[in-house]
Amino acid sequence: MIGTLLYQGRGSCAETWDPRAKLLFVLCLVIDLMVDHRPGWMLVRAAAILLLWALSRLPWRLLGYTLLSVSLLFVSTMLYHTVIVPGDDLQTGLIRGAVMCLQILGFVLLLSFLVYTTPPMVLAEGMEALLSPLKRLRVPVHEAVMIFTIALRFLPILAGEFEKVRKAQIARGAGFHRGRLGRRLRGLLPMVVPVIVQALLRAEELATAMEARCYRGDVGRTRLRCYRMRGTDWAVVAVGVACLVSGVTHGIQLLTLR
Amino acid sequence: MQLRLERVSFAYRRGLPVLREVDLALESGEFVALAGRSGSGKSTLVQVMKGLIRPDGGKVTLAGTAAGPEQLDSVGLVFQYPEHQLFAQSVYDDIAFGPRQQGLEEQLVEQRVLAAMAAVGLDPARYREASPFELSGGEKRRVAIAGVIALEPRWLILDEPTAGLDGRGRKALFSLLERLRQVRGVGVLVVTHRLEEVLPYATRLVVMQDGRIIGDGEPLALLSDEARVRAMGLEPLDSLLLRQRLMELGWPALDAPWDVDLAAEALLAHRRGRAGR
Repeated sequence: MIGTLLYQGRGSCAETWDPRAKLLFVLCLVIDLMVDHRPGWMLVRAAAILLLWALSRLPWRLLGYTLLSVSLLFVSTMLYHTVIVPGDDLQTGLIRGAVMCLQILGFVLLLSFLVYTTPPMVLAEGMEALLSPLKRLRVPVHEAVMIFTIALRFLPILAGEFEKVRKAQIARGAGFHRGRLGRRLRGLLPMVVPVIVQALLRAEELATAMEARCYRGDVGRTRLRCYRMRGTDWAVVAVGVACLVSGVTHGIQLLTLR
Repeated sequence: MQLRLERVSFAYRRGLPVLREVDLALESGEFVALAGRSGSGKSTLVQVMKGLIRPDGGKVTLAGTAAGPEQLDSVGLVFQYPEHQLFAQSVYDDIAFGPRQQGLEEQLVEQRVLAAMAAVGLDPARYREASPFELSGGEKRRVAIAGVIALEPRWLILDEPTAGLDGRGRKALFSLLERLRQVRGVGVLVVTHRLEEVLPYATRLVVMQDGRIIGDGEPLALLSDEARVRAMGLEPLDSLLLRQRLMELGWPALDAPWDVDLAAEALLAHRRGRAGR
């Protein structure tokens, strides 16, 4: 389950792109998606995302899962635009709903692409590099990114731990296989408490381990990986920026026409 | 009564079988050691015996009839590092969790809890209201094991119960298991990497490799041949190597070389016998 949320490691070219380039690319496309609603463009974008998916050699099954996981959101969006706040007529409502669904889908797929093709550490370092100008404003970018990475790294461990504790409690009579919903929900406490206790202990251990290895924060720290933008990376950024420019100019046009 | 696995197969992922047609029968009142390399399927096997994992093929039977999770309540399973499962505010409540889940009356629950505390050597006066999280590692482990004993299982399966315990804790644990076996007729199965500590008690040894049982029988018979022990993926026991060496030097074969006291007595008796001659 957790495995479907993380880096896939398929050995594709998208995995070799610089994380900063990829982040900028996705950011540009997401903004473009927000400001430009032309139906024709929507189709072009859909095709582009599919192409991106194929290029990254991501399994199509994963695309299916992703679609499935946001399908409820689609239903509620369509209901909102057609039933709850129907515009002038049904048709505009339908179109508006459909556009919004496509936007949501675009966001989700773009972010999935980013996460699936970039190891979490690399992603975090890319993010830190992009946000580093904020450090001058005393924003704790490094710390925030580190917390984020650790959290991400610990997800599978916590999931495994939860599974273990669940089984252990069943082994001493926590009947998940019997009883009504209320009892089953109350049965969550014996699962959740040990996992939280373990997580806290683990956090303490991690802090000690980091100190033992002389971690002292951002200043004076060297990096294992050095990132350098190559031609391909600039090209990726250029494509993103081009989309952004086209989207934004269209948006400005719309505003001035009004 | 007999707890039995018949041709049990299981795979977490298709094409990667963890258990391959395992046949195993446990009698109540037996003390069995289960050994095998990491990844040989031991932990999966014990979860099947408790009904936590439904086998892909084969079945689990209890006294001759097929048993699902509900029938397997009479099997108690203590996981690795069981102290990680503690959650309640007091030691008493934590041990009482299982009996309460079974729907027993509070009076009976109290009886069970106090008996379990006595069995693992926790003084109720001192520990009853203590928070399980403030205890030492060894005490926590005893609370966790008491939580399983309070269910009064007819079989008790422990997965690596001595990992992280000190020497005294290990000894106390095994004598507790032996007592449960003798007094209540509980069948005990201990998964272990350190055969030496369990062999003074176990009368039967089961060895797993690649999801199969490749050895099942009397420990001495299974372990006395060094080459065979290595072939089963185990390290030869020091005490058995010593036994071998002594035999080469003309001493008699020891029956239970892993029991230091028995071995020493046997050797002394032999020497006295020779001196007397």
